Amino acid sequence: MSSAQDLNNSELVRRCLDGDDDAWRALMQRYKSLVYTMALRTGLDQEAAQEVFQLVWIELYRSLARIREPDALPGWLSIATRRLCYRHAMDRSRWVEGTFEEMVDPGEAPDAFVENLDLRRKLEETLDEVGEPCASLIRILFFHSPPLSYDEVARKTEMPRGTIGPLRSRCLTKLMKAMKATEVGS
Amino acid sequence: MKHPSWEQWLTFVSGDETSELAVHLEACGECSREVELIRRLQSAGAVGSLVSPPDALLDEIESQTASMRPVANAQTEEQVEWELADVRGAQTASPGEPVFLARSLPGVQLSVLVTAPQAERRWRLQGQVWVDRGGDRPIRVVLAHADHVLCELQTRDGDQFTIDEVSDHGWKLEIHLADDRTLVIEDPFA
Ligand SMILES: [Zn+2]
Repeated sequence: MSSAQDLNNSELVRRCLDGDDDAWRALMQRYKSLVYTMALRTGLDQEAAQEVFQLVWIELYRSLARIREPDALPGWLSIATRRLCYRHAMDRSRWVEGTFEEMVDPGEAPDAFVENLDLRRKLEETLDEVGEPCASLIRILFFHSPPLSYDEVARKTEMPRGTIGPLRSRCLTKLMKAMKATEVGS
Repeated sequence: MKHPSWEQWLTFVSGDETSELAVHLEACGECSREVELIRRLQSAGAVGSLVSPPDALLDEIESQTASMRPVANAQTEEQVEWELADVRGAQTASPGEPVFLARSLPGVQLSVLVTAPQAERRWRLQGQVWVDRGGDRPIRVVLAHADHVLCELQTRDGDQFTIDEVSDHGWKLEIHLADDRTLVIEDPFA
């Protein structure tokens, strides 16, 4: 029997409805950082983001039997997170100027942002599978803010500058293969 | 085939699209896969890193959901329509002014008072349900929007319930009676 974390969303949701606690935990594990990051990005402080985080999962649990597209769960979670952040901010009169209108209106869901955040989540998982030194190199090359020059990358990774190019090539190939295997962002 | 260099593709992806590279990309599967990967990595990089919540929060949620059950879809829904006069009332009602619905259906009577939000998106729904039989059994009231269950509460025969919830237009109020009947009232302002 496959472990819950390897199952797709549809299967996890189905098992949750059968009362499978492992499936519920795996679903939370899969999207916990997505939900928490979205809550923090709306401008709530850490304590408020944690309260909203809990409410989002309670809402999902209640709604499990009605989820129409389990594969589109990131979008569903984004709508719930923004609504609950908005409600929380209104209750406590705590919101960041200019953020709350777009937080609540599903018609204005920042789809590209949610998609890219979910892509980031999937890539981070895939990089963990790919392992070192590729994971570190790709993170430094693409996820470092602000972007680094080759000299800075060489210094950070403690690699001779001349080896970075060939290694990067090999790492991207490896990543591409791993992504194909898990169908990341296809 | 001579493939353009990595540096050329980076410049290409960042918007400086030369036609020469675009032509190559059309013809070369290998490079187009690489460029697609660069684009994805850059998009994923631009959103910043994800933050994990403390694990204790997941334990907390699990302990709460352990005693809950997902809200099932209604077996059969009985739509309780707003009548023309009510709807007209809803269309001309100013924000904050309640709209009232009272119905007598076979075996059940209900009344619902809906107050649309003013500046904020907070709806106020107050209601009462009377059943001819099984009055000692709980009645579940659910506010849903698309495939989201926004809130769920229990009421009893003759008790007043109040829902104060943030929602967009298009919500649905479901009254799940003890005998598997579900009455559905839709947002009259939608
Ligand atoms: Zn090529």
